[in-house]
Amino acid sequence: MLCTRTLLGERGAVLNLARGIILSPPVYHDEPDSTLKNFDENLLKVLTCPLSKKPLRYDKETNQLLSDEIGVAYSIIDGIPNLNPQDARMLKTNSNINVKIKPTEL
Amino acid sequence: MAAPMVKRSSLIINNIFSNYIRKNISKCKRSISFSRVNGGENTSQTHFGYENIPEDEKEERVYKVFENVATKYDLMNDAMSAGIHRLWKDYFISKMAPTPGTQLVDVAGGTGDIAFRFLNYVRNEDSESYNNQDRQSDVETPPELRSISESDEISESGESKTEKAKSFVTICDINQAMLDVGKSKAENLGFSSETCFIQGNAENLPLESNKYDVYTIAYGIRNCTHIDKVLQEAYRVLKPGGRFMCLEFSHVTNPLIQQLYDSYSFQVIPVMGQVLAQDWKSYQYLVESIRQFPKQEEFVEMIRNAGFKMAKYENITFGVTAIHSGFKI
Repeated sequence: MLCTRTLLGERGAVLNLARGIILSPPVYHDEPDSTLKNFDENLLKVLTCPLSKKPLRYDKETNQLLSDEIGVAYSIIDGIPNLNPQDARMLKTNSNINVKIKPTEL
Repeated sequence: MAAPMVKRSSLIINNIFSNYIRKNISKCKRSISFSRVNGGENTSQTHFGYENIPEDEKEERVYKVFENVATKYDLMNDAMSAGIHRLWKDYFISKMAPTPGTQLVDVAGGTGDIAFRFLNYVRNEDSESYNNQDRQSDVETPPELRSISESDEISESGESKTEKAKSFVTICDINQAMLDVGKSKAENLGFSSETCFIQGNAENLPLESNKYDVYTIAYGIRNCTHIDKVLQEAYRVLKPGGRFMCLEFSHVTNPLIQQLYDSYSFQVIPVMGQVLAQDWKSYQYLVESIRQFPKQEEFVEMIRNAGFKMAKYENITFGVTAIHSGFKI
C-alpha cells in the first residue's frame, strides 16, 4: 500500500535512514555542469524586485539582477537569484543595503 | 558636492527603506501572539525557540540553523519522524488535489519535498483521464469558482488545449544552502524544467501579484519573524480563487499523547541531532519553535485576518501536524 511504499520502497524512509547511518549520507554535490550555474533568463518573466515590485534587468557581465527604478542590485549564486532585500546592494555606492543602517547614512 | 541625480536617487532609496522599516515595526506592534518584552533601547523582541531575542536577529539565527542542517535535512526528517513526514506530505498534496496546469508557489520549500510531490501528482493526473470529474477534493468548490482556474481548458477551438499551461513550481526559500540541495535533487529526479529556485524572503516575495493558483508553505512559517506579513504576501501573489495551504507542526490535543510527544521531543530529538548531524542546538531550536507557534485556532484566525475566506484547519496525527487552508475569494 501507499504507506509501505513510502516507508519501505526503494527511496523509502527506512532505506534512506539505513544508508544515512551506515554509509555516508547522500550528499548533493555542486556539479561542474555549467547548466546548473547559469541563470535562466526565462525567470525574468516571473521575478520582480521585492522592494519596488517592478521588473528586473539581467546584467550578464556582473551576473546580477538590477532594479533600475531604485538602483538596487541582487546577486545570482549558482544560478539561483538572491532576492532577499537584506542581501541587496545599492548600485551607485556599492554598499550593502542593511535595514539596520540609519536612513541618514544612505 | 554630490550631483543632483545621486542626491535624488538616494532620497528615493531613503524613503523606500524608511517605509520598509516603519512598516515592519508598526506591523510587529499590531500582530497578535508571542510574548513581547520591550528591550532597553526600544527594540521589540521575539522568540527564538524559548529564547527572547531582538527581532532583527531572528532572521539571521534561523538562517544559520538551516545552513547547518541543509545537507542532512532529509536524513534527519526521516529519523525524527520515522519516515512519517513523508506520509504527512503525501496527504497534504492529496488534499490539495491539484489539476495539471496548476502554477504553484512553494515558499520555504528549499529541498523541494512538496514541489516534487506536486509534480509527481500532476504527472499522474495527466497520464490518466484528464477530464476525471471524480477527483477527490476536501473542499466543495462551487462550479463557478472551479472554472476560474480551469478557464485555459475551456476553448473555442482545439488549439488552446495543446497550448495549455504546464504545471510549474516556483520554489522560494530564504536559505541558499537549502536551495542548493533542492536544485541538485531536481536535477537528479528530472524536474528541472518544471521548477525554478529563488532565494527570497517570505515577508517580501519577489513575485508579481495575482499569479499563482496555489501557495504552499510546509514546515516553514513558524521560522518566519512576522507571520502576518507572510500571510499578506501569500494573499497578494495568489490569483483570485487561489488557495493558501500551510503544513506545520501544531499543538497536540490529547494530554496523554502530549506528554509522550514532549518527552520524545525534548529528550530524543536533540540527541538524534547530535548523533546524526553533530548539531544539538539546531534541533533544540526546532522542538522549541514548535511550542512557540500559535495554536490551531489562533493561526486560522490570523489567516482570516489576512483576507482569506473558508479558512479552516485539519489535525493530523493527534495535532502533531496540522494543515491550514484558506481561499482568496
